[in-house]
Amino acid sequence: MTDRLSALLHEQADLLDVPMPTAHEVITAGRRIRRRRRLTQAGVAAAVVAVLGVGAAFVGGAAPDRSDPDTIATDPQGEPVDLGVVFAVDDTVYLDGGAAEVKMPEVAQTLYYTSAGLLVRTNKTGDSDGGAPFHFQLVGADGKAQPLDLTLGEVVPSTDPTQPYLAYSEADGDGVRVIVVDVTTGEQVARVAVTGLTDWGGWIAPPVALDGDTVYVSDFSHALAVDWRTGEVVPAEHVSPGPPTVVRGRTIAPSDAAAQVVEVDSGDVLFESRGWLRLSPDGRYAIAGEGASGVPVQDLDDGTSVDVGKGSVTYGWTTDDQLVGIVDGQLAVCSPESGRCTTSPLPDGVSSDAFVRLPGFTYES
Amino acid sequence: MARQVSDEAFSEFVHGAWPGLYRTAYLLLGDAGLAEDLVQTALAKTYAAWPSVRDVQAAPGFARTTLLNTASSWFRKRSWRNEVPTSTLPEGHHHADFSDRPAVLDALSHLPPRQRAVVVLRYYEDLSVAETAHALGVSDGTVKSQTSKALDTLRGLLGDAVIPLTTGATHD
Repeated sequence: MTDRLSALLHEQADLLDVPMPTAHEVITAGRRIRRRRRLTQAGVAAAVVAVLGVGAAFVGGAAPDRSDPDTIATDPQGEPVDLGVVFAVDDTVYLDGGAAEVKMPEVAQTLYYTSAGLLVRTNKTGDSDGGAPFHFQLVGADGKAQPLDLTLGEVVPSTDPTQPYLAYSEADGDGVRVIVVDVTTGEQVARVAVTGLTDWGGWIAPPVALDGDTVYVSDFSHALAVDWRTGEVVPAEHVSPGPPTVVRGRTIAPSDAAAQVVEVDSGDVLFESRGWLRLSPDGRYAIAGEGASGVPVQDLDDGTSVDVGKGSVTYGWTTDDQLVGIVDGQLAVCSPESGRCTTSPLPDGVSSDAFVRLPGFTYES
Repeated sequence: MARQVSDEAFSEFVHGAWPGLYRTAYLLLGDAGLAEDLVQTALAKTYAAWPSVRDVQAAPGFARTTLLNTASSWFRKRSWRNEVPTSTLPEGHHHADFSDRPAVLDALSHLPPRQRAVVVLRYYEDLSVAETAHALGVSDGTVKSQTSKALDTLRGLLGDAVIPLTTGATHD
């Protein structure tokens, strides 16, 4: 039992000399933060925020006025719904390592973790190029799928595994808007207009990455950070132009070597790789390219690295940071700490050379 | 709750919340100056975000969450990551008398920042594994492994009487 440790911690804490609070300094600092936010909002980009349910839209740099603060009060972050090892082949999504399956009305094209379930992007062909329209199904904790009332064109949407939201952008002659949708209801919870994005390649709107209260949106010249709850838009100084990747405040950026993991807030480089990088759902690990003796996986917290499996395999991630891939026609689940893998047969009817789609990939071309 | 809070009301809130927040901050950081900075930062952010606080009763929890989030962001910075705890365990601390109160804080100072935070959140704040993982922005598995490592170290410093070998898996 840890009762003794707990008791000693409380006794020790009670004996601390607690300095007198400096309420005046706190308030002064608080005002400074508030003022800085307002100035940033006014100076960087015009924002339009419509908080659905309130129905108010605000144009220009002013902070959104909220008649009902509860509608945007900070929600506690959740955990991604645990459906075991998930993957998809054609129009079937497999759960629990293949022990259960869910049929989709179209090809399951991309798998996204959310706190409400596994969100599946579907389309007719499975292709991203020319693949629109894209539809969505949410597989809940009960293993059942329900359609999401949302159809998207060729954009790059994004989820945060700890939240029940999908973010994407849309563009027309009036500019670009970042949109956040509740995947349980299909309702838009935020629309934020951003300015200054012009060239985002072959997609119909700029790619985004959702990380907490922030949607990162970028074109090929710069990236912006959009606080979708407040409408604040600021430059994302440490997020690279191009399709953004941001997980728990960490981003992937190109470097002289090849790629690096960077803290979004500070710009600190956590790790540099000679190969491409792909972050785990909680941002702790990064798959670092390919190695002859396995796939290198870097622990970004501890600074350690292991080679996972043998040879070159394309791995996705489970919700709890295990790697999942197809090795020698078997489903392999591997530890990012030991590098060891356990394998199990693919479900009946799935051939060893099938195109298996894994969470962690956007399947964008 | 009112859209903005008066200085008088917020000062009252600061005086009420400060001691508890400071104790948590000190246990997390082990440094009086840093602890004071952390609490002040958390309360300043609370002031700035006051319209988002659902009601007065929720304000202390909001401030505490903000403090933990701020501490977590500090730990994520490279300078914190590279901070190395005392590498050599002090002689004479094995099987220390657990009634020797400073020994607990001394022992905490031998843990890396993340492990220290896990211990404080789980055994001082009494958070579950999932709540601790959420507060620190890491996975449940990370919390469990960091807890296990931390308790091993603390057991070596404080003795089995404080942390019996059967601990760790039972506190969730």
